[in-house]
Amino acid sequence: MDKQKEGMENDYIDESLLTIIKEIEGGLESVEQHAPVYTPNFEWFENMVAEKKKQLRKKLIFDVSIFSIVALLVLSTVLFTLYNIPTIFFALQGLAVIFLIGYFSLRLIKQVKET
Amino acid sequence: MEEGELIKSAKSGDNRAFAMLFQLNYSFLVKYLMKVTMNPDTAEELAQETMARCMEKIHLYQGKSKFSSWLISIATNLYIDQQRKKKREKNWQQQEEIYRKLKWQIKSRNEEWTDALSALGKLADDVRIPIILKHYYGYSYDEIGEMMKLSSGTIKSRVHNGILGVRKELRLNG
Repeated sequence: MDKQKEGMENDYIDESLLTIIKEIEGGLESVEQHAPVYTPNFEWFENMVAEKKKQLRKKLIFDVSIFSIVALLVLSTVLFTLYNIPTIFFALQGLAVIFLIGYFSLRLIKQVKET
Repeated sequence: MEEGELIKSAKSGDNRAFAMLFQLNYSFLVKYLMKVTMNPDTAEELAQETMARCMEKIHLYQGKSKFSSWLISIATNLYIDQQRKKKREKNWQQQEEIYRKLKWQIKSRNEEWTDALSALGKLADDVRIPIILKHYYGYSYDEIGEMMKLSSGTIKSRVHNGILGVRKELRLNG
């Protein structure tokens, strides 16, 4: 099954392309074998992991704080407009819907263009 | 400890398990990134970013593919995003600059830097990457498509056009 699939995948390959592919493979093999890579010792990896975890924790606290502040602001604005100026409240709801439709349409168009 | 057990421990927050996983896969990851970026410095920087991203996303790893494949998938997308942000001009001169250090490293070990590698280095990243994944690492078009978030048809055509590009470049130089 895999071989059949592989055969179908490679059906475009003619002889001259096979030679090129072999040359590419040879070049990449030379990089694999001869490019120097120095793997750091275990302590380096341990320190890197510990440092990254610290950063992730800081980022999480920062993100949660920002999210809470923004959520409180939005919620208080929504409640204020709903009880005191309902026209503005419904206008904002309408604008939000229009914005979301526009945003997702643009994203879809961009994705289709990229592929 | 086996890789599966290491991944399980890493998922439960074990720093040593993460460190062991990264140490085991470091060389593979950097060598992959060297082929993709053709730049040893960028490869090492990206390897570190990949490990950091891996720690953030380890809960998403389901074990459907090998851990090393998952790592190179993260690395590939990080590199593509980085290049997209840079939006650098892709003229031949600049590409030459990019692989100069790797070329020097290979040559300093008395090994040949082939014309095919130079031609590969002149291709756009989004064409070079699928060629490497397909013809060096042996991934299928579907797998590469999943890694690069593209359809397998798009990958197939990029690989094909890329190889034609390399042939054209070799004929020009030959």
